[in-house]
Amino acid sequence: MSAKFDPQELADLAASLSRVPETESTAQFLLAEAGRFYHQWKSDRLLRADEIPIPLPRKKALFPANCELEASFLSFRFRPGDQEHLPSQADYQVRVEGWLITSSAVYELQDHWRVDTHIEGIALEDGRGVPHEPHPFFHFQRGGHAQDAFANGATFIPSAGAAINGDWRGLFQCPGPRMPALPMDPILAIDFCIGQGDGKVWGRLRNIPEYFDLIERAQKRLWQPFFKALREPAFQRLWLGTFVI
Amino acid sequence: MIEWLLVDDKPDEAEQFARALSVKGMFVVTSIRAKDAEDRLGKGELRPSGVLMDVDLSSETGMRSTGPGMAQNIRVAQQRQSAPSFPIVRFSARARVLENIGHDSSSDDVFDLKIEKDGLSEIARQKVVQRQLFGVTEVYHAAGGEFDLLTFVGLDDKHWSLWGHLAFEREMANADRPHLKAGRIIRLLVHPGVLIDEDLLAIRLGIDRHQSKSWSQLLDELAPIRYSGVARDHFPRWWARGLEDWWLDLSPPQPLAGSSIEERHALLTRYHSDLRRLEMPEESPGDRPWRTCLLTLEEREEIIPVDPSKGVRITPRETLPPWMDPFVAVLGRALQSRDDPRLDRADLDRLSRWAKRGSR
Repeated sequence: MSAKFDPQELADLAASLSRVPETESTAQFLLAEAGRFYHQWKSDRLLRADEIPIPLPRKKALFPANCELEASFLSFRFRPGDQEHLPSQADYQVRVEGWLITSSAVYELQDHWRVDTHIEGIALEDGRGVPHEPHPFFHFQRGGHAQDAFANGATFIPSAGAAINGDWRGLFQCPGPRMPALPMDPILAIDFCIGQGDGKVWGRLRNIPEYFDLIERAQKRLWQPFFKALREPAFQRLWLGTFVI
Repeated sequence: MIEWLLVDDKPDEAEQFARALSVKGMFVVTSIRAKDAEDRLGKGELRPSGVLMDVDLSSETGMRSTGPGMAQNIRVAQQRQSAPSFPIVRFSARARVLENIGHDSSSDDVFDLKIEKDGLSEIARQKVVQRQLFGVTEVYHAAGGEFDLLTFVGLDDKHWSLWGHLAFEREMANADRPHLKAGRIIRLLVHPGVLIDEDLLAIRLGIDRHQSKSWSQLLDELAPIRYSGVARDHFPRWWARGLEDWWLDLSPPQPLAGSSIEERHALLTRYHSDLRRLEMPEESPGDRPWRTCLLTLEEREEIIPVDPSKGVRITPRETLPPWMDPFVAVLGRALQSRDDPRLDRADLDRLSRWAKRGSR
């Protein structure tokens, strides 16, 4: 069996995804982009995809109540490292879009979360310098640049510029915590997003043996050596950063 | 009385097949010359319950049409409603099919079923075919009346959304003639995907059903996921996703597709003591069987379980609908048929390397 990630696996994944109605559009995207993935991989050893449609999260325990979900997307940048279990870049950004319509207003809603790659002591890519807060090598965090752009405007509420009066309660968001995360290749990331969004759809996919096999192979390729490497203090520090004393 | 016609260019041979397939007082098959059939079937002068159609009709003097050509003309007449809806089943020797049709899929949709003449001298095989023809007749009969998909397949809305498939529902929405509706339902019943037969059911459960005294007891337990729609007595089937749900209710550590034979067997024998584990044939590596080998099925009607992670994908002649299971070949057999252009080269290379490493 191949021990290395092969972008052809994304086309194989698409074949399984196309068998479940909720993941048909994910499959179509991956198949349409298969040629580009192959070219990116061959020329730059990089895989990049913007806005892959992924199944909507199940309508359960959503906030705000009575909102309607409309679309959900995954974007990623993946670049392998010298060691198969330690990609040099494995960034994933998820955006969920929805609406809340009341008798007097229409609210356009978005939810953002991401898994970022960051090496301790290295300046952030956006020029903000070396951060004071510890950033594990791969970390989960809410928000992202797309959220910044969405929230940046007078129609965003709550915001200083919003024309709204009276006393209201709202939620705000801090940049932390940055939770250590496992490295994921695009196969595992797509599986993770589907699983987190809709366990029923995920259950169906995992009963497609070709899908199960792809995920199993990806986990063995990436996670087994990763867990093994975690026995080494130097690797623990590399993954968790300055958390490790 | 159900009355089928057998269109063939060899009267003596046709007569023998007609006799072999008839069931006294219930089901009669009558052979008819190709020219006669061509003149009368498309015009609606004959109203059979179904037609068995030979592929090669060239032995009959003056006959220019082929079986698929004549079948296509009948379908056009059925579409125009100048002929009644009845099933058309391809009925030919395997060699004649290979010679006349080969890998050309253009006539696939015309036929509701494809039955080979080979092996029909055996009583057991005759009974299997009779059962299929009864079933197909029943489906056509039901499709000619008021049609409701859920009633037809015997599920309520909730269970169809869990065990059915949206893509199939879309296909049915486009079927505006009884023969189109019936054809799609027959495909649902015959091709593994949404529904699976008893052989595949046992394979997915990791059980050798012929060696297991508790098999019928297990089948009783699976009654809630058994197909209960039209032609259920002739096509014993189970809902594939129903089986997966049933398995999850047993609280297994893995979904059924991800469990090994040993894990499947271990969990089932907690409830049913006399179940024999399925043994994978030597030519079929892997321990998570899920599909059957298309090559051995085509060549000798032999059912060999395949673990898809160790099987070779087969490119179908035409794109399969998403509700249908993909085709796969058992590795040992695929390695013997390397020249078959349908076999996935990447799988062959990958698994050949794997097999060589394993044999060292």
